[in-house]
Amino acid sequence: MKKLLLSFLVFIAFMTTAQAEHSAAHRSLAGHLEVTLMQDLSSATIGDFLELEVHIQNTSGDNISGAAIAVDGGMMAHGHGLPTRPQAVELGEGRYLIRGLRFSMPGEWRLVLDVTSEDVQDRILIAFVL
Amino acid sequence: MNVRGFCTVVLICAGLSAWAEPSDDFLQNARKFTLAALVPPDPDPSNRFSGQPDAIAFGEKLFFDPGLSRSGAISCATCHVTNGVFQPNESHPAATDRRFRSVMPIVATAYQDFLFWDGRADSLWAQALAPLENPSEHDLTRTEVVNHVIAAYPNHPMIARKQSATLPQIAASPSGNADARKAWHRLPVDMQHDINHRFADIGKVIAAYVETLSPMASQWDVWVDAATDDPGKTAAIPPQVREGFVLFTGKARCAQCHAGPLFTDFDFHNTGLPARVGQPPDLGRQAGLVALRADPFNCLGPFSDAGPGDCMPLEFLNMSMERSFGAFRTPSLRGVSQRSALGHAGQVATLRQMVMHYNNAPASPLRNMTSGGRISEIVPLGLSQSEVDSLIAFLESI
Repeated sequence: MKKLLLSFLVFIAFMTTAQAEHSAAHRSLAGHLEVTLMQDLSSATIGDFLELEVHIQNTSGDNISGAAIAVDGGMMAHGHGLPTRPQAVELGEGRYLIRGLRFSMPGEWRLVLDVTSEDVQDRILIAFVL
Repeated sequence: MNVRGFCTVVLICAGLSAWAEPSDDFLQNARKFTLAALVPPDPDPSNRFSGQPDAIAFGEKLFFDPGLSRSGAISCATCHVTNGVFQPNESHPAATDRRFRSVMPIVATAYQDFLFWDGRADSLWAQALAPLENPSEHDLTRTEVVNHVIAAYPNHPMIARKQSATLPQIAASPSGNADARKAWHRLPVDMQHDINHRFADIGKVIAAYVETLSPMASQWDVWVDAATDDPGKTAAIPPQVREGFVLFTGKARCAQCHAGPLFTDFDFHNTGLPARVGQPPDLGRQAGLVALRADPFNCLGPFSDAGPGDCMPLEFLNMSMERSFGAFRTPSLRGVSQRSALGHAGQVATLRQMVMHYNNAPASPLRNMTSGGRISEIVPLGLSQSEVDSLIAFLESI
């Protein structure tokens, strides 16, 4: 029983940590970038426009400046993309503001950020549920 | 540790973890689908008359004015009011231009960013203008619309402009037939602009009125309101309706798009509905997007009263073909059982047929026009006959 309880608590700890990472920091697909969301997307209000600030660094912790960010995404279960065409503007010090985000319905959403800078090109996938 | 202790730890951990499922409270969920959850709409920033009492009163006169038609018999109310209730009225079948689109409900349209089945207008006032010039509907030219309002409501401060005495008494419109277009292009540019301003203002006062049309409480609202005040009255909601609501928000997946107190996400989806028999495929939102961007009466156009940052739905419009191909507006389902035609083309005769379309999820009729991939968003639901009956019972109550 003790082993079972220990396993359960380890599982809980893992899930809690995994969820914290899921809602805040994201490693890019090729592993070049670390992207931190300054807002929890799962708390977005359905139908309202949302501004999302992101902080982009390389794996050494250096800010990524001057990057172009293409924003895409959608709902896999419904086979459709985002209802809007969001745009990202640079704020400085590795921070970018994504404007025009809007999620129109509950369910599983994906947000895709294609980041291209002078030194690196990589993609970040963010999955969340509304 | 004994079993009770283990269970206590489990419960505490489960309570602390963020991924715990919320409790399934029927009334709490049902409340989200009633008018009690509806907040007033924001004023339209592109319409300076929005919310103004004088404009609302004037707009109501124009809405019911059959003089705003070539026949003298068609007003906005002709197709939007049935037996004194704001329900689509299909008893005046339109001619060719609108023959494969059904009339949309106009109650609670103040909440929408885009109007029409394909969203080709981004305000109520831009929407209100289109039928006036449509040969299948009001069948007037732009100059005729403006001249009628000036003559019927002389010197009305919301329409009169500096050149009111010099407006030509001709039939001219940039979107009319060949003669009307020629007449329009012979007009001086500043006069065209003045006519367009007045035309837009006519749409804006009509929109000011339409914005005020709120949905009436349905039987569902009455039941849930009573049960909210006294949970013992939940039993007054027929079990079949309650089961229908649970299906609506669960297995049947209806609420994924038909969400909230107005039963809509205000978005556009391809649900694989067939075109009306004998009609060509309808590209829906895809064609609507092109028309919207080109519309001089859109939120970013010269006749809009919007300021910087007021036109976000248009500014961030997603023009992708993938998302818009064959997609149509998610209509509000309030009063759906009272409508004589269902679907964007009125191609579905009964609520049961519509529910069975979603239950069976046939392939989209547009699938042969693409190189592959999913076109329709819907998937088979596996509803039993009894579940279909319950779903319909719920739909008839809202």
